[in-house]
Formats: sequence, C-alpha cells, structure tokens
Amino acid sequence: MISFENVGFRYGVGPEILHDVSVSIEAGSFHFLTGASGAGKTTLLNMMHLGLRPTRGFLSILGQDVGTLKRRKVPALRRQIGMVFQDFRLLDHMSAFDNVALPLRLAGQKEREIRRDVTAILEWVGLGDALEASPRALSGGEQQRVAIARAVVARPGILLADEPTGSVDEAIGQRILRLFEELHRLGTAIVIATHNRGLIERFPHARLELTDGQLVRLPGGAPLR
Amino acid sequence: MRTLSVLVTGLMVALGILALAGAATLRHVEGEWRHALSDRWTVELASGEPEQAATTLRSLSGVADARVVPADEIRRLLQPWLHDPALTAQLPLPTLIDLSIDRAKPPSAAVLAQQISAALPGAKLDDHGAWTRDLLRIAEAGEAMGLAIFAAIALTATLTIAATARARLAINAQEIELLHSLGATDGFIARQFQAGAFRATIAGAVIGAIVAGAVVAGLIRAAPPIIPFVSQLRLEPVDWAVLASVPVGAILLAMLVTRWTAYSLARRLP
Repeated sequence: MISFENVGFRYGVGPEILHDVSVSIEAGSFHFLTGASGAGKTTLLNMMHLGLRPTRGFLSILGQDVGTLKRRKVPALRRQIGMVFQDFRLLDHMSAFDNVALPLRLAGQKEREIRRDVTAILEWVGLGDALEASPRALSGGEQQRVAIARAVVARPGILLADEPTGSVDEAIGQRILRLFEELHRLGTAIVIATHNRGLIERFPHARLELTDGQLVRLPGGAPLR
Repeated sequence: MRTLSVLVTGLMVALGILALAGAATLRHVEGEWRHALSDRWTVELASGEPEQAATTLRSLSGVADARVVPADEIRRLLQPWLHDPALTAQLPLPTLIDLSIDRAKPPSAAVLAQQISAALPGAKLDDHGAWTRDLLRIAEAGEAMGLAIFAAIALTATLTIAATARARLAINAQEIELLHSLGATDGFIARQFQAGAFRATIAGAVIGAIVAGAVVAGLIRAAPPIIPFVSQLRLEPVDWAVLASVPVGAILLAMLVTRWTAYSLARRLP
C-alpha cells in the first residue's frame, strides 16, 4: 500500500531530516510510528498523506509513484487515505455531523447515503446523540472521536493518525485504540504516530521507530528505548 | 465582511450605472444638437429687402425654406448677454434670415455661400460650423469621460473584489487547508468561495441598481429644458438594457474574480 525506498527529505535547503527510509506498509497492517519529539514522525506521516514529497528516493502510495504523480490526481488519491490530525482540525461553524460528512460530500456521495453513513459512524464512535453538536460544545475526547469518525467515514484503505491520544486521558486513549483495532480487523492499514508508552505496551503492534532520521521496523512488543 | 461586500458592490454598481447613464444621455444630447444644427443655417444681409432676399434664398438648391428673423426675436436672443432692454432696443441689429436645409439633398456650405454671394451681394452665410464643432466636441468629451469613469469603476471593482476575496480566503485559510487535506480539488474549493461571493454580491448589486436607476429616472424626469435644441434628456430602451446589465455584470465579475483568486491560492497548497 505504501512503499518507501531510500527516501530522503529536507525542508528547502535545510539539513536532511529523513535519511534512506525504506519500509513497506502492507494492506491490513497496524503500525505504531514512534520516535523522540522532532524525530520526523509528523513529516513522515505528511509524506504518506501526500502533503510532502520526497526530496530523493522512491515513494509509492496505493500503487502511485508520488514523485511523478500529477497534482490533479492528488485529491482522488488523498481521499483514499484517512488522516486524524493531532489538533483535530474540526470546523467550529459546522455540527459534528457536517464535519464528519465532509469527506463524503467531497466524494460527491448522495445526501441520503451521507445521512445513513455519518449517523452510523458517529454511533460507532459513541457520539450518536451528538450529531448536531458544535465541536466547541464537545470535550477533547469527543472532538477526537469526531475527528476519527471523519477520517474513517469514507472507508479509506489507509488510516494515519498523528498523536491521536495526545490530548485525552488514558481511558479514552484506550477506547480510541480499540476503535482503530476494529478498523484494522476490517482491513484498513493503520499507522499511528505516538509516544504514548502505555498505549504501545498495551497494544503490541509492530513499530516503526525513527531515530536520527532513520527508520527501523521493530516487531510488536519490542522494548521501547 | 459580508456587509462591507454588500456596501462596496452597491456603491460600485450605482456609480457604474450613473456614469454610463451620463455618457448615454450626453450621446443623445450630442445627436440632437447635430441633428438640429445641421439643417439650420443663417444668412446675414448687408442690404436689400429681407422678404425678397428670403424668396431668392428659397429658390436655391438645397434650401427647403428661408425665414426672416424678426427684430424682436434677435433682441430676445441678445437679452441674456446685454441684460439691459433699453440698450438692446437702441442697438443697430443685423438682418438675419434662417435657412432650413433640405435634409434629402443637403448643399455644400461653400457652394451655397457662393450662390448666395452671387444672388445677394454682401450677404454672408453662417453654417454655425465653427461653434457647433466645438459644442459637439465638448459633448463627445463628456461622453468619453463617462465611459472612462465607468472603466475606472469596473477596474476598481475588480481589484476590490479580488482584495475582498483574498481577505475572505485568509480568514478561512484553516478551512481551505482542511478541505484540501481531505481531498478537495482546487475547483471544489474555488466553487465554495464563488458561491459565497454570489450571495454577498447579489444583495449589493440589486440595491445599487435600484438606487441608481431611481436617481437616473428622477434626474431625467426632473431636469429642466435648459439645454439649447434639446427638449428633454432621455434614455432609449437599449440604454436601459445596458444599465440593467451593470448589476448582472458585477455579480458575474465578483464570481469570476473570486473563483480565480481562490483557485490560484488553492493551487499553492501541496
């Protein structure tokens, strides 16, 4: 699904942040992306989300060579990738329902189907009674779940999450991870950038660890450094 | 932001309509002057019997009619410049004959002047060319100025709409980035803002058009008949149609400029 081969990345003329990253993320896999703050986790996620392109090497996402991908083809490819942002990025002037409906509206889905799917996904994340609530009226954990619902409502093949438990307590963090595991069981490839040690120990999935700009794949349950 | 857009659009549309209406009115005034003055020439007699001279003039080719201008009428024409009726009464007045030119076969002024000199020695023909040309030039300049003002307003409106669109896009930068990251195409993002510009512009355009239309209609109706040879200011149906197209054009312009601005900004996103 996602294949990095000797990928390097630098911002402008600055130093290279990622060096010779080579990793393959298969369909239906589940990975934590770990590393110290500033190690390049968000940069790597942004590359997987087509927000950044490699400055060298080869990156393929869902069979498309990102290096030669035409700009006009990016939106359709991006719609197949769900992204949970660290800061949620919910639109306050829209209800929870409309926030979650955005990807479906972008895909041109019919309103009747949107109502059905959005209602179902918000019930799945435990917010079936908050369809019309403004994000401002929701707690941090509820906002996080709305953001997750938005990321998965269009049933993407890949789900990326940047510190999805960063602003919620342990109990909600575990609940969010269980939601991700449910998605994983449905066949979605999942990559979660986090440095939540407790979560990684409780959910022993494979890890991609960034150290000094280099990526190492570690098996599930491997000890954290 | 929306109230500002309504106000700016309303003002631009109103000014545009007033400028175009002014230009169109001047064009009609110029046309009426051209029409009225082109077939009214004057002969000044040096001597001789006026009525007999008028008869002679009527027989010349290209002259439809000749009328001796009564002395009272000449005094009345002089009155605005001399003010004092006693003075005009004492003035020696020229003998003038108004010629109505045959529109079907208008003569050359030079040829007619020669014929008149031959038939009425000492008589001089005045085709009013010298001052009518200046007058028409003034009217043409006024019309051109109206059109230039309209062009300046259109340009200002375009720049203002672009600036407003940029401001609106800057305010909504977060939303644009989110839509973009969720897979929205540049066209989709541009359409959202184009629709917003339509909603903000339509109210201003309608209000501006109604106010300016009422002002134009009121001025035309209330203007006193003070312009020589022009009985009343007027606009033809085609002029009203052009004026009606101003708000429509403003709405289309706002939508296009906003779409273009949004599109060009969206394209900068990765």
